[in-house]
Amino acid sequence: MELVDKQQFCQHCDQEIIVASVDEQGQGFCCTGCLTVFHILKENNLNDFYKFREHSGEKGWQVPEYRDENFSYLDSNHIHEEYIKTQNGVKTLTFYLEGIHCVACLWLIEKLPELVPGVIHSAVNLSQSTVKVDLKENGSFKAVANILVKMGYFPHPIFKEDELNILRKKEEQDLLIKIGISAACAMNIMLFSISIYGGATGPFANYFSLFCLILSLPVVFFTAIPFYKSSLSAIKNKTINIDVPLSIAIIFGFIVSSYHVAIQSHQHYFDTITTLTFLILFSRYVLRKVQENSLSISTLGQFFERSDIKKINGNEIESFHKDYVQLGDTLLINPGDILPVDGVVIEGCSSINTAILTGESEPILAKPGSKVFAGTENINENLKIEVKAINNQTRIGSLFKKIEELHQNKAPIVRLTDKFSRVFLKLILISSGLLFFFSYAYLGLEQALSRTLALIIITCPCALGLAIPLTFTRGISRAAKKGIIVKDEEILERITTCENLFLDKTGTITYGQYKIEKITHLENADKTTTNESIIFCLEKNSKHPLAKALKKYCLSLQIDKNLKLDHYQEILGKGVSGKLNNNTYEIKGIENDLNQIQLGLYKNNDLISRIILSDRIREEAYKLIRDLKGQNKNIFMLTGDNKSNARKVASKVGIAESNIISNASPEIKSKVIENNKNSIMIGDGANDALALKKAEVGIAVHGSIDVGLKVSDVFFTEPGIQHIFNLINIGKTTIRTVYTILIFTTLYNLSGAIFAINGLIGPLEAAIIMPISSLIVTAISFLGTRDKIK
Amino acid sequence: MNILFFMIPIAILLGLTFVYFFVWATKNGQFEDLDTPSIRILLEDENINTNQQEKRDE
Repeated sequence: MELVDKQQFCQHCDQEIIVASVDEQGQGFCCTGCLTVFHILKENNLNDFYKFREHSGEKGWQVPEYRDENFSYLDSNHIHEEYIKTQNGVKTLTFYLEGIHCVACLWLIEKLPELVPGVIHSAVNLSQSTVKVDLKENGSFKAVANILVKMGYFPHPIFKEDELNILRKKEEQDLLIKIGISAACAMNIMLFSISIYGGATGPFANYFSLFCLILSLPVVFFTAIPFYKSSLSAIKNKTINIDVPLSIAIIFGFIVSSYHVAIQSHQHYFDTITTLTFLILFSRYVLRKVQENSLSISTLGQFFERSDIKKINGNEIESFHKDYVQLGDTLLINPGDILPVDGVVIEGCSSINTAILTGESEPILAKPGSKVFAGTENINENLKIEVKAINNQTRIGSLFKKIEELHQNKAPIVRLTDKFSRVFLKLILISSGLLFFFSYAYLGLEQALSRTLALIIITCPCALGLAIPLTFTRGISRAAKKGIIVKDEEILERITTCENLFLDKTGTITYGQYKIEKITHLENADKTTTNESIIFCLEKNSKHPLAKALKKYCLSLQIDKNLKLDHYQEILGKGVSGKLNNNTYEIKGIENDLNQIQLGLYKNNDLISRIILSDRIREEAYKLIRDLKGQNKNIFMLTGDNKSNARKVASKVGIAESNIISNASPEIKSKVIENNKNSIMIGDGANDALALKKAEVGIAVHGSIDVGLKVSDVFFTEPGIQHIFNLINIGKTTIRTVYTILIFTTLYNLSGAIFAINGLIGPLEAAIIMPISSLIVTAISFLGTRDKIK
Repeated sequence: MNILFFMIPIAILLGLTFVYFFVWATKNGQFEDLDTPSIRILLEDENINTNQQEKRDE
């Protein structure tokens, strides 16, 4: 394998290559994932993929890390019986796919019929990232899933649409039907009303008025029901919400207009109230659609957990879906697996990483009889466990539930707007009442009715109910597009007020991909094996970026990958050790004053190999840290690496030496965060869980999304310091837009009220102006949150 | 102009028919996914062209 010196870009995803994976033709890729996808595309004549991707304008995304998952359970009988429907010899299953991001993906995935035998049709839904696969009855969903993984899209089968989704779909259909009916009626009523405005009189006018009334019946008594329901529940709770004045306007308008039809006068407001209903329903639908397309954490969370479970039945190991685990089952946990349940060890002896639960960096040893917990990671040996608790009854399950319950806060500014709108609504109702009485007294019933109706309609604060949630939603979806997953809207506001920023060194400020510069062997470890074999086997189970770099390098040489090491130990952040043939081998860091990272392979405490690595600092880091300092943020470096390495990087990017905390274990990190309120922290989802929970805004990088999101507020799908900068900027523009909207709404309502009170605007004009103002506010929301950052 | 008394109910009946079809289409899930079909149309054309080219090349 060549170590690439000059800058090269991956053939598949266009990202810069740090350490290349090279295929037989010498083409370079950034990782084996991209290499695999490139070859699949080539073998199947699907190179048009790249053409489509160019059209879509998206920059290439790196293929997500290859995860090993056994999909055999997809072909098992019980899954088929319970979940998979078969019709006319065709069975259907829907998968949620990780990694869909553009038109080219749509094209590629809908080519599944050509890649997997038996697939009849595959339909992608881009906004929901799902694919519905129709398969011949004797086909294998396991094969489908495996191809999807190879193409770089990790599939999660959706067996039953959860209740929430079904409810939402039904609600949406209901809303759409109501919109259709109110639109049809409103526009036909408008036709008749125009003729009356145009001067129709006599029997025609009566006829038209009658039809106006008939057509308004479905609108008032069917399509406006959501408004009535919402008003009633608000009144029952002794508050007022935005649907109250709306319902009053509609009912009031209908009664008055019907009275006019009865006495054969032609002054009625059917056009007003039906147009109003239609426009309000329509804007709610638009808002709903926009919100739907941004990532919804609650619906996604369930998909990111590993689904396959290995159950042991007698001497067989069967692959099952997570839903089928029961208390008392015996499960097989391989090295590298995350435990899916709480349990007791029956057989096996292994180290377990409990950092996510306890914050302890030292792995604990589990042996027969030890209790083990869901969410922890099995490090080096197989374990057989008996299931003692599942799902929400596990220790970590109940912990997460508690965290989620705490996270129900609304942003302070949203609470402010809520209060503001409630006061405002009361004001509207009181002033409408007063207006009615005074105009009745001085100007007669006609004017009183007309002016009051106009006032109620024009001051309806639908803008607040629509535009502010929309602004926050736009903020969150903009962040999501950049690979930043924000759990809660209030985070956007909180992040602008935090003063301290604790950065992780490896991966955030640097690329986190170590390049092996040189390995010098001072002595051969053994006659039977090379030093590189020992290095590889020692680092086999470590997830540290240094371990990854070493493994990659060693794999390119002829090594023995299966040396059996005893007493394997990893001290997080410090090194690994193990015994072979009665010799103790360790890999540890060597402190040095040069600008290098040095590791040493030690045999019985004697240095036998020296490994020199380098980790490049991201180019953007220099400028961004300067910019962040310019925004009055205190920047700290919080890293598990040693002091000299930390100092080297910090001095280059401009972080003061007093702000460096090195050799920080997860316990130290959480203490530091505790002592510094009002801080943003970036760290590893699993290892820094405690510190992330304590930070004002915790940002998780690396690892799986579901673990990261459960302990932190934000998850970066890509590491890198530019994302923090983007996040803070998105927060700023969102809050600024909200303030703009509030100011505009106040001004508009004041002027609108003045016009209505003075009779300068009639109810019909009000019914049209009010949705226009909603549109303007929505436009402000969109414009204010548009992308200015590249 | 008296024809209006007759025409208007017919017009309304026509309108009702369309409303009925709209409701039927909604219930059948026509409006569930509004983004993907718009993109898919663009792709299918290219698809047909390349397939035809391949067939001609063989």
